[in-house]
Amino acid sequence: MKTIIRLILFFVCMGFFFSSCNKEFLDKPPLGIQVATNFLVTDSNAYYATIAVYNVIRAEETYSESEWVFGDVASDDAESGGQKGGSDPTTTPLYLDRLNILPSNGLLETYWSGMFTGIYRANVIINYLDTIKVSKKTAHSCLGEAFFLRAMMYFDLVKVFGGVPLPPSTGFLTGKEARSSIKETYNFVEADLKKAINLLPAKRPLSEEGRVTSGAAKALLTKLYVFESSYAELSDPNGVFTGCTNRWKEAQNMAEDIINNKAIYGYDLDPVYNNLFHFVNDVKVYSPEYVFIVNSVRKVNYGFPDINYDGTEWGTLGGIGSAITTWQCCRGYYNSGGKVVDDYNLGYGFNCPTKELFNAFNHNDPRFRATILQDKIDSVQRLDATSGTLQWFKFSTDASSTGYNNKKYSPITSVERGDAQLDGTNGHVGNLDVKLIRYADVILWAAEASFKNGDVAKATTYVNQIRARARNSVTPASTEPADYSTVTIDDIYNERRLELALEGHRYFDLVRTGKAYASLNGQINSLTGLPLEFVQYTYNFFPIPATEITMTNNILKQNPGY
Amino acid sequence: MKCCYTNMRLNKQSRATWKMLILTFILMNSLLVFKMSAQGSAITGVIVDEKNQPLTGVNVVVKGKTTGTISDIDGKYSIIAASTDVLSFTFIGFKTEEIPVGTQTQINVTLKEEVTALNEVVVIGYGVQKRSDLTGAVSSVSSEKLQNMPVLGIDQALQGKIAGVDISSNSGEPGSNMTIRIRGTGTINNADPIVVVDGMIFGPDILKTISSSDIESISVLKDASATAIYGSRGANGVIMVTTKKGISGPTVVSFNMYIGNQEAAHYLTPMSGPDYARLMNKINNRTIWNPDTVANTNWLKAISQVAPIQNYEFSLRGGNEKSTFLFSSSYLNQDGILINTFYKRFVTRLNLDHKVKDWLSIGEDLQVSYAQHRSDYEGDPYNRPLPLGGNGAFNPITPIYNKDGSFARSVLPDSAGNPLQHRYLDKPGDALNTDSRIIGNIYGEISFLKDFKFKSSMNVDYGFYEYSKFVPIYHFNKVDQNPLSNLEGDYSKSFGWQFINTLNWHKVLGVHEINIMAGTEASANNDYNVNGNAQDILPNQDPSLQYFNYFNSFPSSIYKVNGGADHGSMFSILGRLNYTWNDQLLFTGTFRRDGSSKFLANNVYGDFPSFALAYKLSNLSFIKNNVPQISSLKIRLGWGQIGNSSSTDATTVYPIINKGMTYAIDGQPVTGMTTLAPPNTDLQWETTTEKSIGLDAALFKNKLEFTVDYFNKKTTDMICKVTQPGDVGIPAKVQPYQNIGAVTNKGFELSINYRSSIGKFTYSIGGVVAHSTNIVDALATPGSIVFPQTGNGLYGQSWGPISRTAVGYPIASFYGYKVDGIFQNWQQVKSHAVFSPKTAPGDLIYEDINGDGKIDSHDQTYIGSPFPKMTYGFNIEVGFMNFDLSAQFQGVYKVDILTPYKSFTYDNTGNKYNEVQEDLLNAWTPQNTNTDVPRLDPSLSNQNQGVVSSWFIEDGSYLRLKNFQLGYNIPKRWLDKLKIQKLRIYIGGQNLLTFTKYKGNDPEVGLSQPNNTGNSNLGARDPLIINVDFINVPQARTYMVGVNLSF
Repeated sequence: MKTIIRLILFFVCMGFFFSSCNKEFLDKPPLGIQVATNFLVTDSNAYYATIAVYNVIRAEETYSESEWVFGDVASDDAESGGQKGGSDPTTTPLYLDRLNILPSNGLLETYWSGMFTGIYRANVIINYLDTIKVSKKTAHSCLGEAFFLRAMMYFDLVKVFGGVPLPPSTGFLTGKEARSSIKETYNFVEADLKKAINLLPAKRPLSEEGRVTSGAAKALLTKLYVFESSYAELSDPNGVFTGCTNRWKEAQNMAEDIINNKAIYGYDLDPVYNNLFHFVNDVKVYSPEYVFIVNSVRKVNYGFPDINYDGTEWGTLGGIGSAITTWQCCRGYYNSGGKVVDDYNLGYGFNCPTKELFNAFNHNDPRFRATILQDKIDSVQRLDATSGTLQWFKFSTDASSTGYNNKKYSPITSVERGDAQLDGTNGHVGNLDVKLIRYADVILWAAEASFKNGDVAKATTYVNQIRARARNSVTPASTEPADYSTVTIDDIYNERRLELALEGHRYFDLVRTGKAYASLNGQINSLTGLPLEFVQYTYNFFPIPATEITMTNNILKQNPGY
Repeated sequence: MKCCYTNMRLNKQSRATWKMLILTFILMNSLLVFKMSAQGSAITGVIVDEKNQPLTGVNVVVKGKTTGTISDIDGKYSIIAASTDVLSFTFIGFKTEEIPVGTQTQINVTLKEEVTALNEVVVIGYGVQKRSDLTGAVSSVSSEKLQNMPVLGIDQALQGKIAGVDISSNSGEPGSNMTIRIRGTGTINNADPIVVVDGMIFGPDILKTISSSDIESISVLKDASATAIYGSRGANGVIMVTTKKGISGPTVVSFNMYIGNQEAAHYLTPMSGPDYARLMNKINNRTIWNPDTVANTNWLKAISQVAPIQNYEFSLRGGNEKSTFLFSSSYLNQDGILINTFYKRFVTRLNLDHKVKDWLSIGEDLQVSYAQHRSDYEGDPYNRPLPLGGNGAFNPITPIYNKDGSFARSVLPDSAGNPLQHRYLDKPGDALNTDSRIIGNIYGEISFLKDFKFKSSMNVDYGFYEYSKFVPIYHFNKVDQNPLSNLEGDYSKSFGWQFINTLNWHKVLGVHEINIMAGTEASANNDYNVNGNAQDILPNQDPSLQYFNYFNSFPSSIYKVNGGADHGSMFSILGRLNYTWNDQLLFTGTFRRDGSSKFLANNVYGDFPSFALAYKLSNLSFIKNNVPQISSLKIRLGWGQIGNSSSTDATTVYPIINKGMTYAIDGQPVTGMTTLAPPNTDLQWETTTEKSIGLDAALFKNKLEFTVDYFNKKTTDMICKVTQPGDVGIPAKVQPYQNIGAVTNKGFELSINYRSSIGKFTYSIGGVVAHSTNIVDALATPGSIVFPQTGNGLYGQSWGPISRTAVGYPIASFYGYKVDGIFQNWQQVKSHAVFSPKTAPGDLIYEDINGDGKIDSHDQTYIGSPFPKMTYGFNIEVGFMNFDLSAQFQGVYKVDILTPYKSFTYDNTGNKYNEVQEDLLNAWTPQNTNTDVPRLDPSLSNQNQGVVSSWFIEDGSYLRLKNFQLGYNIPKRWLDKLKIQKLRIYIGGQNLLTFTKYKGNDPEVGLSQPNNTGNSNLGARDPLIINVDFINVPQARTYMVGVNLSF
């Protein structure tokens, strides 16, 4: 009997052996798969996760396609273009072009979810980064970048939609958060940017070129102050700007901090305006004027831009670049054995400048030639990879409703009249960076803020800096644009329009300066010949995508008027 | 002195056909009489039943000794026994008689019939139970019902035998998996039951490795009250397989074999060459081909063969009172009906039991199996095994061979290579799967303190799987060529173990009988897989060169390596209480708590309870005394909660880091990685709650038995992908999984069996019927639709997802346009909404569902369900003298099959080939209006064959003579001289007859979406593509002869 009992005890113990240590026994993390909960504990992983946030800003859904449609196409500076004959009304940019702004617009939906995808990835770093295990330098930089990028995406969401849902102080958005007001969102952005300023280095070594610096964070903060101050001045029957206050002083101080500390932040105007928008000897130059841009690789031909979120890449070369040149580069036609071939391998030819913009320029202003590509006046050629010969392209009204194309994102080597050579030899043209904040922008904010703060002389100096650079960026230097003796606020706004034309700013500037209705209502669409209607106040912001309202069971409330 | 013993242990099938057993069973299972010396004198006698009919095959043993014999055909026996001995007479279906020898030399015995079916012991989870005491829905089938069928796995033999267990094969290729659904499809995810072999848990694929002659019994736990003991894995039902054990007595040598030939049971009829030529001329309005001179090749036949199948089984079974053993070996070699496909399997098994002490016994079961098989790219829409569509499409006007005997090239441009040439190009050594698997267990059992038993068992499962494929350089034509040789190798290893400890307490206290089982189970598994691929290796077909090699690593070679690994563990505690009051009221309660490494944080543990109550009405004295027609009557009620954890894997539970999110830093690309979705650590198993009620009855002295069941089974917490609002920031492709969906299956099951005899003629008729409905109650959101993960754009057509699962409809319903006949004239076309301005008479009429005057995607609707209204089966067994005959039918009533293959076989654009003859020739013309085949329209203006519509849905009802056997037992008096115990020869067939209106190859479609690589280690079938016919290889019709021999 004793033996039996002993045996049983032995087996019973064996049986329960597992229960006593089953905490460990049942803890089997997956093999060969990196798990998020144990991820942000090394310097390299922190870096990779940060790159993954940057990855979103170069996606079509965010800054490569959507932003400029809202900023330029919807404004008086550009029309949609991009379609043969420009007549397919189903393209989403065209709806916005015609101020046919509907909550069902697919572009709004992709922009909304695209931006929040980036915010999610920034939140991953902000919530999960193990600041003990990751070295201080890396942790600071990565956190700073995450704060900056989250702030930028929130800021731009507000530009487009007004106030948006904010994440809880720790953790992630769950889809159950209601929209915050513009002021609340701005407070959130401001807090993020202040953290970023503290965490980020003022300058980056060459090997980190393109990553955010504290100067960029300060520039974005300037922009926030400018926008908030502008909003505070607007008449506001819908009460969407409640809480926004005059912050012009802070705006000026912040901008001048950047301007006066060139040695620290390293920003300066590029002596040659056109260098900002093309390649030199097949290599893209990183200009000191770039405060913050969407980077793409320096080489011209790096394949089709990867736009997917899930890591699968488009194109055979696994390209990496912004898709902006794909969208905006002029659409070319070339003569092939007597046959005219439509080659949208150049680009789709979206974002065509309007006659109004064309007329807004003094045509001796070098910026005019750098901004507008004219049919029958400019012609372009491209090296044909197979034959090794130069191929002549025409581009015509077939691809543009206005007869013009955006030269800033048609990467053409020469700006001289006549023969221009497209960068890139096959496939889509080379990828250009998307300029989000240029130093010229900072100077113009400084000008605007100085003016608002009563210092017209300083404002004049700032505007004249911009105009002088434009004059001097061609050889021999142009006479236009001439200096102002003293600027008006409209001069400053106009300078913004010319300097930053077709870079995605116009619509938002019109809204914040209260000039949207006057500029956009009644504007004649060149394709339809019909005047457009700008719904006062409502069209200050685009509608929240209808699917999002449905999906959140009306937790998200639609903007007034839609 | 003779001694003899038969192998009656666990549940011999119901008393079914006991008279027939006289003729057959004895010969199948009894043993040769070995002469042994013993003390005593010869006792003789005659054994009869209550009707004074002699009983053949009765075991007569001297109790406590190893001597024994069996009665002959006249019921006579002779045995040597001492006067102090006691003779024991046992025979299945009868009560055992024990008679002391004393001074008698002649002992005549009358055996009384017993209510055997109900005394039969049924294997349930972690124990056995008398069938009469079952409280849950448990069906059992004994081994002899499954013997001698030309099938690879026992699951194929079970088709149509158990009510509520729906089994269909996915393809007729040898080694193809079966789809098994027990009481409906409970989830949009993995709905496969688990298979428990001698206590160890596997997936259904284990059945392929077990020789059916090694199986003692199968029982199927159908309802939650029975499966809850398997906790988080029991929701899809449990199939319990028990292998044969040794038996004490002289060693029985058995040898079974059959050989047979298989051919395709049915092929659809492709268009003949001349018809094809005529059709092409007609479509193109000019003479392209001369119908009188074109070739006439039926490519389906050309690549098919009459395929041999052979199976040999050998077993030794014996032992003494202390030790018993079973040793068996079997070899199966089955060629496929498509040339160059086959399955070969070798299995050997050794089961040992040893009684160490009165209180301690130990034992082991061990099986080693080795299989080599080669299947086609089965069902792959783009690499058809059958030359009917996709890349394999071929025309009937090309001959197989040129005059010089070489393979002919297609007479049409841009066609695939000669299908038969392809088959010979793929040598048997290519695309070869080699599966080696060892499964087994060792156990010890201790009895103590009279009422207690403790059992400890260690199970292991070790598998090694290889797949290799070599594609040589070939150039059949511009399109069909392979410029670089290609070698692929895939190596997988799996190792799993289970450690089970159970304690049993059994006590009878007056009218109370209590049985308590409590136990623990720990288990773990590890899987590992490496897959390598090399291109441009030595361009040689010499098999000895088809290996990876360092020296082949030329710079130009393209090498790729992939793979995966997985591990998991579980710890469970489990218990069961059986309580019986007065042999009338039965109560069962079970509980299992599973801890699983599959789940995280608070969800590691899950609890699974069940209760069942049964009442034996027939044991009420009122019924006992007044209704003698009722032999037994029992009513059962059950409730239980069970889980399904097979729907998840690491990628659904863990927050995974994805990579590949690049960005340029310093002008150079840098790869980013991050988690794309929030950790969904809350994921849990799917839970199924089932209520069931059943009635078991036996009437007229057990001649008629039936069981009726009703069940209502609701799966909740079903795992669905949930689309989040955009501000959550999760891209569509990685939306997280949540326990949010629900599905209800409910239905009836009936099984019935009647047996009787008229003189020496015995017969039994049995049948099963099941009806169930399947409906989705909830998904991620009320409006959400779940699509299959695969199956878009079939055959390159833009068909879209092939099924959709939505609330209010059955899982994987078919969706498309509803067809209302064919436009007969222009007036009709003009007055009806049309698909296209070019729609003309002869085109399909699509119903304008939303009545908006046009036909567009808003007019698509649910047009069919892949689940049958009814499944059924019946069998007839007849015995007369030494002959036995059995026929097993199986059928499905009213089920929809979607036939995307028709978009090819009915395509009349002139681009595709090999159309179905009788139908396309019958296409609508103004003169031929009484047809359901739309007009020939090369421009496809109405998309008659290009969009999913109810025109593609056919009724898949069928009735099939699944198995037929006619056997003859060589009379014993002849065998005795040869020292042979039993010799039966038989002829038989599988799938001999099929009654169906279905026009495709085979109405048995199953889970259709293929593993399109031919590599059996890769790719489970998509559970949401059900009954979609991509033209799988049809079931084989098999004719066979066989021998059962034992001595």
